[in-house]
Amino acid sequence: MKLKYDLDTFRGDLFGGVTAMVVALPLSLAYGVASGMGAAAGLYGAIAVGFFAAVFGGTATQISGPTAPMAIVMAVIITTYAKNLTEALTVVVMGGLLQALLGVLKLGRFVAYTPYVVVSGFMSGIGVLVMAIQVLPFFGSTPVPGGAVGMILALPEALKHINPSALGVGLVTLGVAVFWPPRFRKILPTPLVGLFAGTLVGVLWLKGAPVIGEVPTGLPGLQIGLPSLGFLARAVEPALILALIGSVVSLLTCLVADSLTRTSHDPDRELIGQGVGNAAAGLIGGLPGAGTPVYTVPNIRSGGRTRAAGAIFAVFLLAILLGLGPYVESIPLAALAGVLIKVGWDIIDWRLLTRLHRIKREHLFVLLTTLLLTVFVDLISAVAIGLIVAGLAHAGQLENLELDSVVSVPLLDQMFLYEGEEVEGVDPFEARVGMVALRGSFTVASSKKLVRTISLDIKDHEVVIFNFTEATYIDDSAAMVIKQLIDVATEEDTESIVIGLTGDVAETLDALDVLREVPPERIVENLDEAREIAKPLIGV
Amino acid sequence: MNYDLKTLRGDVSGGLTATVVALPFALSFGVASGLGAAAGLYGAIAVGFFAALFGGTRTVISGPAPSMTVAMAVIVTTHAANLTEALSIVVLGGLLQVLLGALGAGRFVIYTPYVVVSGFMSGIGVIIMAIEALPFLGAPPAPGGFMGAIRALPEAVGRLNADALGVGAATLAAFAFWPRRFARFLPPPLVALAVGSLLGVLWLNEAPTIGRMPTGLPELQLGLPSAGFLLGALQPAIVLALLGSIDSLLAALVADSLTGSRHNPNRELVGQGIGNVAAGLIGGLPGAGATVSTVTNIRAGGQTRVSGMLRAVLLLALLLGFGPYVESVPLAALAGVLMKVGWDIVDWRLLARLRHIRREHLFVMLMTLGLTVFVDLLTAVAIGLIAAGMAHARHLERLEIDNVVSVPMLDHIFLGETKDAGEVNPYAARVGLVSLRGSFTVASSHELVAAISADIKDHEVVIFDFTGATHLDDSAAMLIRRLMDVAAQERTAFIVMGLGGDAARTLRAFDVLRDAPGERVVETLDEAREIAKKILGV
Repeated sequence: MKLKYDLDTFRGDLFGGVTAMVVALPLSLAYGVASGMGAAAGLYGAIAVGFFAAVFGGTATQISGPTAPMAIVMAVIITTYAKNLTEALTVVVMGGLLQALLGVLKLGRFVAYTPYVVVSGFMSGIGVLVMAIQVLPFFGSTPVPGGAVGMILALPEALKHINPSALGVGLVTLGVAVFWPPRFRKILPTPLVGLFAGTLVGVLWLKGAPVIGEVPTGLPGLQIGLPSLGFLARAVEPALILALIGSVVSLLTCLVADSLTRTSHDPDRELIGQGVGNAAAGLIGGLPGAGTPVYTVPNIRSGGRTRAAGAIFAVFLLAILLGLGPYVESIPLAALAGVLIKVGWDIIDWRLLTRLHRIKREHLFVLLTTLLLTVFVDLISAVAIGLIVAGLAHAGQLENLELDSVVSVPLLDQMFLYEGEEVEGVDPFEARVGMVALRGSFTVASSKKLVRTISLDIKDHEVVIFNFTEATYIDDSAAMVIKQLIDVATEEDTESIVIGLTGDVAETLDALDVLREVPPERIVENLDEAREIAKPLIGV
Repeated sequence: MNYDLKTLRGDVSGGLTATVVALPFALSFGVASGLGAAAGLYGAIAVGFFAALFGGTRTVISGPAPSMTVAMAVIVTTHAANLTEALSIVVLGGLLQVLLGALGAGRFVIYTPYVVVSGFMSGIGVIIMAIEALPFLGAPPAPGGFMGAIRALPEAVGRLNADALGVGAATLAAFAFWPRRFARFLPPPLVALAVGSLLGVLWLNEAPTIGRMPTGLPELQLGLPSAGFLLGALQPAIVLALLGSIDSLLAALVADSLTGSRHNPNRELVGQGIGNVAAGLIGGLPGAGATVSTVTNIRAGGQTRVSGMLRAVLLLALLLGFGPYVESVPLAALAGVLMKVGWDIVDWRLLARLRHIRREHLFVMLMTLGLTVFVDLLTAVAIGLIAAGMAHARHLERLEIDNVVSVPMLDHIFLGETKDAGEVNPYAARVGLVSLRGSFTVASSHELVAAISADIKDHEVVIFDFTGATHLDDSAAMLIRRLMDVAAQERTAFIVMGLGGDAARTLRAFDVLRDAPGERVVETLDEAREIAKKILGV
């Protein structure tokens, strides 16, 4: 669909970009501080990622900028992997390049296969982490490294030295953010109002609350410092984490944008755009970012339709940085903390969490595993283990469905071989031929149980017919099971006949050389041909 | 089962054969792990006895396993500062395995796709061959797994010990070429070890030998490590527990298909876990159910737990009686045995067909293999599982989308309008039917949103027909919720029809039908027609 760019479209993009900018401004400052890189880094990141991801990305309406997961990863990188800012920024640039590489390798489309419960658990975990990290600045203490555990360990000390001014500012910010009436939200977004109220209180009355302080003014400068080769090797791991988390978050947002605008995004191009944006962010000393519904949805709702909205978003942020830089210095940290605590609360998937007692046990398990690993271990382990557990749980579900669609029946000699005629001396209940019919799709989920149930049936017959007429899909593991079954048949001196093998199923069986033991003339089209082959084998 | 003389005879024969096969492996894996030959035997005894006694299969024989040995070698050089620490990791791993069994996680292990298992086993085979190349040439082992062995190789070739190479080559040749018809009486690994040792003792005296074997009964090795160490030990212990569980349950499946019995996966994990705890306590190598030994046992007549326990007792007797003789077994002979083991573990059959197999299978297999060799075992299995899941989802996507039918229902047919024919557009279709048949998962959910949203826009009423739906997963449930959101936004009314069984449960669990008025959830198309008529005002 090629849009004609007219004044109407431009007006929509302008409103969209400005609305998103207003939402992003307080969050960028807050995430910049939360990551440990400083408020300015948050703004730089929003500008770089916002601009380049919009221009090069695969979704027209996506607005990118600092996000909670990326800020949390960055906080870990700064405290654990990097010794100084140059090293941290190198990791960001590498992460961006890796992300672009993921796009070039066309791995983008696979992110859409992340199950809902994993996404939900992950985002709820991020919400908890964001709130946990902000508890200390909320009370006026300095933040500590170590995520949720670090916060809990430092909490008693912080509670002993509460800074009443900071707490006051934080409470005012949080209160305004929570109780700001929904009907005004369209004009003045909650985070901005909260931040404004908190800052006002801090500047006018509660002057004892720690503030952001010295923000660099002017245009961001290029931060290029070549680190040692040894560091580059160590930086691969955190860079990969940044790339993966950024990709997952961005692409999940694209899906949201798609369903709002009825368009369809190009996941691989989106990854390249995000990667270029993050590399640029790293070069100018900014926080890495990703596409997020927090900015994208306001953009779409305010009328943003094309890439211009994202570019406008970035340009306006830059203007603000240049014009308002000095004023930012007096924003209390507790105000930022108040804003982020509300954001963290909103990220948590309360709708699902309030229904925990209703959802299936395996979904519950996957959800809680992902959530707890996100909060207490690390983000990558959380997603990886969440995916694996979800896959295994899903296989457990499929197993019964698949087993139900396997039929193993004895074919009575009288009916099958003599086609219903009564023949002297034939036991009417003798069945020397058995048929195993596989209908539908077969995967690793049912494969192991198939061996057990069917191999016993095979032993009872002289000839077994494998019927694939209604099979639609067979995966690698199921194919190996069929090979095992044929081996069992060979071992038991049961003859195998294969019928109805076509298409996708035939291709898989052929690729894995499953039918090696079955002579080619025993692989036929239908049951009549199979009967003709079976007769001489039994001696009829 | 009635235990009679015949069963006993079978068990004795099975246990004896399994002992003879296990002996050379136990010694070799013990040396390869870095814990020493005796540790291999202790492990075979402890795991073999307790897993047979408490496990969930009757015929599985347990002992040191290739993957766990490779993991143990890493633990000894990287995670543990001394033997006590290494052994506490083994004990911890065993306890975790018991926990896995108690939590009922056993049944999920068999859902590991074939290409992942194949890539992983091939990787283990490659690592074992690389590690054993050093003692095969007479050089001391190097830490650092595959890469460490490769880095040390030029040096080992430079200082080649000709005697060791001779012993190793003779062992390997005897193992590889021992005629099949004699294999029943004298298993190849034992013959190979005997040939290599004889050669080493009689002529090639310069080859390094095992040396200093502890004699007598293994002792309890109790040493409480610090709490801080236990936290760090958790990760390698998880690796041991998972690898042991996978190996054991795969062996149990093989035993099932040979004997027609049914194993209890969770009980098997508990048994294996107890065995590994015992192995760690007496200073032994951890182990798992071993497919080769199990097959040998069954073929020789073993039918009950007695054969496995008997094997452990026989190994103990051998340890007590022959301990001193083991000291002069050349390390190169053990390396020769393991070279063959490594070679056999590699899934040559699949590797030979690489050109034919599907691209996504190839990708998953090679990635698992590469990660096993160059990164670490747990990462390999984890990423292999995820990649296989994604590749599988891609396949399912097409199948599932084919199962969705979205059709416009012509007004004059569906609603049966009786108005004057002249006023009715014969092609007007204000009602659409979206029929979901079969099972729906995360694989297709995002594509479906895009496809069906467009249809929803075109109609005034949409009927979601779940009559043929057998299974909806969490993501598919969310898909339905999003479709309903779309319908609400487009002011299209929706009717839900034919919801039953599993699909209904999932939708209710995720509260998908919250916005659907009760009367809009109906059983049949006729009821849906009545509702649609009311909505359209016909």
